[in-house]
Amino acid sequence: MALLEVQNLTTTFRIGVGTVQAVRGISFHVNEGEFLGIVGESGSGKSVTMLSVMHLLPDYATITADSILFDGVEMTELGAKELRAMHGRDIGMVFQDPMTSLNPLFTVEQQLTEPLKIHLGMKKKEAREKALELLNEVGIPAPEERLRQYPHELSGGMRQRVMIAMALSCAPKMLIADEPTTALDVTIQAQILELLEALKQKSGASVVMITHDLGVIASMCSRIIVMYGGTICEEGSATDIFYDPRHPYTWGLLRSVPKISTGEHRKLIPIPGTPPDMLRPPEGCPFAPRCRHCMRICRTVPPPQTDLGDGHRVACHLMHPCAPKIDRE
Amino acid sequence: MTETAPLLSVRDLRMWFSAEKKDIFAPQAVLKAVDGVSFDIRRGETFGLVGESGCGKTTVGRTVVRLYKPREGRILFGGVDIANLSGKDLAPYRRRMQMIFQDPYASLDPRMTVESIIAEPLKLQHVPKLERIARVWELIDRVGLKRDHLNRYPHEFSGGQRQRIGIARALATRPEFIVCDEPISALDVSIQAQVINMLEEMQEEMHMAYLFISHDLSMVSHISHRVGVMYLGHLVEMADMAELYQHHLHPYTTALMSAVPIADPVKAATTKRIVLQGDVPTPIDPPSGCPFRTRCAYCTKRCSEALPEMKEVSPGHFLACHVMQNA
Amino acid sequence: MSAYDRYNVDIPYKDMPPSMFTVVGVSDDGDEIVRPSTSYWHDVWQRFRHDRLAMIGLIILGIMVAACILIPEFSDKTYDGMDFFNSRQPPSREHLCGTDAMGRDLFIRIMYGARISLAVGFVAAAINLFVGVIYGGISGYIGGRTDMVMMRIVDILTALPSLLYVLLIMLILGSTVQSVIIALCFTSWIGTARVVRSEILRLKHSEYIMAAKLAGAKLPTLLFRHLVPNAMGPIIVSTAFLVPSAIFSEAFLSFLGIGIQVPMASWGTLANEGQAWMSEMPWLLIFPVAAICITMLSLNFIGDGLRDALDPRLKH
Repeated sequence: MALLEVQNLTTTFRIGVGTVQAVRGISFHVNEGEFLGIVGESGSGKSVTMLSVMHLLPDYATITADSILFDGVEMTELGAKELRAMHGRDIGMVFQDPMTSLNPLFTVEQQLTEPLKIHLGMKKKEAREKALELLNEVGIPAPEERLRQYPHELSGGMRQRVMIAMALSCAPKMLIADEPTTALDVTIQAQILELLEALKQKSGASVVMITHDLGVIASMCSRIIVMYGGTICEEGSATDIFYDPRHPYTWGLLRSVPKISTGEHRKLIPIPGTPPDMLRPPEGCPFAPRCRHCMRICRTVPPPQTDLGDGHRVACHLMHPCAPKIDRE
Repeated sequence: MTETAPLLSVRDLRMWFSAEKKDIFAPQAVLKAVDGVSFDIRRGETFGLVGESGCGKTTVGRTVVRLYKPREGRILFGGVDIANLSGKDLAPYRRRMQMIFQDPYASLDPRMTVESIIAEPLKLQHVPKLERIARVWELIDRVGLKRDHLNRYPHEFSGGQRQRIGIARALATRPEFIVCDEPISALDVSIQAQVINMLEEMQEEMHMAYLFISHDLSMVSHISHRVGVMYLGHLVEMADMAELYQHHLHPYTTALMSAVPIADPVKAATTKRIVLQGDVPTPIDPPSGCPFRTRCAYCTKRCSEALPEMKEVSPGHFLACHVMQNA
Repeated sequence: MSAYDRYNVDIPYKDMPPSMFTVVGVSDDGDEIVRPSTSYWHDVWQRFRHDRLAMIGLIILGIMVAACILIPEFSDKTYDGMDFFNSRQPPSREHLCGTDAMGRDLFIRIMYGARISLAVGFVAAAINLFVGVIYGGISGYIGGRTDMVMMRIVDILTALPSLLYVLLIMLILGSTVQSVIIALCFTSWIGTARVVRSEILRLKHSEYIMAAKLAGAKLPTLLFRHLVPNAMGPIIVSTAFLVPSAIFSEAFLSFLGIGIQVPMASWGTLANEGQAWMSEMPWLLIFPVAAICITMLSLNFIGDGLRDALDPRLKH
């Protein structure tokens, strides 16, 4: 069952010199209770996609979609007020930098209990007890004391835990985590990942994890969407993406990450070139200019999604019967 | 790497900062960013320094190139102690040591063109104009940018391109030693490999030594010949990369190794992750004895009493841990 | 409809000629920059140009400057030329702004007044800029004890009312344009110095400053080649607002009778004179005051426009 189903989502930003085409007509879905990973580089549109779904973009963004269906509700028809009610209650969000999403002037208690009071209509005492319970759940030691503290008094890992507690406070059906560990140290990252995994097991909510690091999601995600240049280039189960990738960009991504090695020195194989400027994205396949297997068609015709079965989809002209057979490098 | 005398030899380096006081009557607190660090770097070698934020690795890098004046310790560069030089005496060493910075958006002066950015070190060394232009052209070709980019401003470039401009600037004076301070952590995955490969090629060509600072153990392990692991201002373990990978002994190194994300679902699912509990203590008020003891699973009574010393446990493998030294 | 709207469709391009599937490989050498090259100042000008109020202000100020330079040169009237046959004339074709009790043409006196007022404004702002940048720059960059001492000196200067200095200086140096400028500059550079200092404090730990240090740069290079150009936005904004405030202060002093003395005519002096004749010859007050107002408004519009153009972050 799909919890979220998005059809043909396009998001553009008007800036001084032109229009940035951040997301270019993508369709995807999030299943109930699954752990979905969205992988891409900066500018690939991975964060903008989810922010568009949530309508959390600034005024100069234009969002169009044929349909955004969340839990049976057509979100494109909702007004601003109903959408706001949905944030926090049905959909929780965790951002990369907890410092910018926590208000520095309020204590942890004030910030944690606010959504409980607004969305669930709890009384002060009740909300405080729930807040304590939430802090316990996200593994914060001495929660009583933490409630009285301000965000700047907490360490980065603690702040991210508070953010997660806030996102989970109303038992949402979906949790969106936008690069939740990028700003953290590796040992703290491991803690947060472990926590997210445990919470997912316990609550059964769908989790969408947006990241640039394939390694982070390898062990946790059941399904992965790879984005590039505002489009989805490959989508499939973790096994598909890691062991049977079909898109040259996915190959490149997997190959350019160094493996922690025993000392025998392999040279890294980088993807040549730079990501496209989304003010003027390439005409055909967005990855064509950097692709070693680029064909003439790739420069002019955007590749369609090819269904390889079992939800494994690839947008690449190499899937065409006339295209040369190329093995994964 | 056959030379025996190291190019750079750091001995017992200490760099303390005065911390912000809570109120004016409190005694001046000190932040011991680096507290007794020693290592050697040979010509043509890459020494990797890993650790989490706040462990002092960046301070080590900046002190070694003398952006800071160390509180204590010696920095022998080519046999001369530069730790206490200043002004005119330091000037010749400025040319021989350079740095590549972490943030390609903050490390290039936004009001200067690429040409003046790369030419600045040459200009300050009084290289004549014609020679300077020739050298800038050579450098811009070398880092794979175009000559018509020279009149553009930094904000017009992507992160990877900016980092290459930073590399060109660092190479301008033909240094013998470069500190690479997290040079790729702000870059996209597909661009990181480009920069790493470029650094490796440059090293082969010019036989430079690198101090490669990063929090990313997999990148460090890829580029470094030897690696030092830092925790809270101290080096806790130091060895050749292969040795460290196979026979890491310090509990912190073990945790770091296991926290590295593996881009392989089956392997990731089968490897047992050691998740450290708690946060790094503040360097203003570090724990007594071994700095890691508050998060260590093997902590003994002795660990809180005395700071473990760096000892050579096998040739070239140094370790500072009471428990593992004896194990 | 977007060409990417092909979700869940099996290969739809059956009739594609096979030649389209020949591999051509990588075309991006990674360094094509599609956006046109722009410098910071170019961007600033673009933003400023689209600010209607600021452009109107700039045009009015331009007309004012041109008029006050050219008109007195080509006119047969002078600021002190008396004509008792034509005294107390209301505005007419011959005397655009009328004449005063001594038959002096008010329009030409306002033009001469504009010379004085604008000169006072711009010279005072320039001096402020110069002193403020050097003082604030050194204080901010060196920091520590030097900064402490330099800032305490500034605190002491601001602790005393500035009218006190002004009166004292005017008493000692006499009521000339130069002494008005000196009096006005005596403490007003402090604002600029504080702005510069806080900018320098913010910028001096930037990585590009470290890079410049490693390249061997010394204090003057660091300060004037790297730090000040990067702090220029806020500095210019604070200076831009100094021009109208200096003009205003001069007018105020002259109005009180301690600034520029008759027969020299600054706007403040004219307004002071006009005030005595308010009921009989209202034009003597209205026109100088209007000149002050229009100039103030123009300069403030320009200042606002500059602030928005130089520092878009401040807009919200």
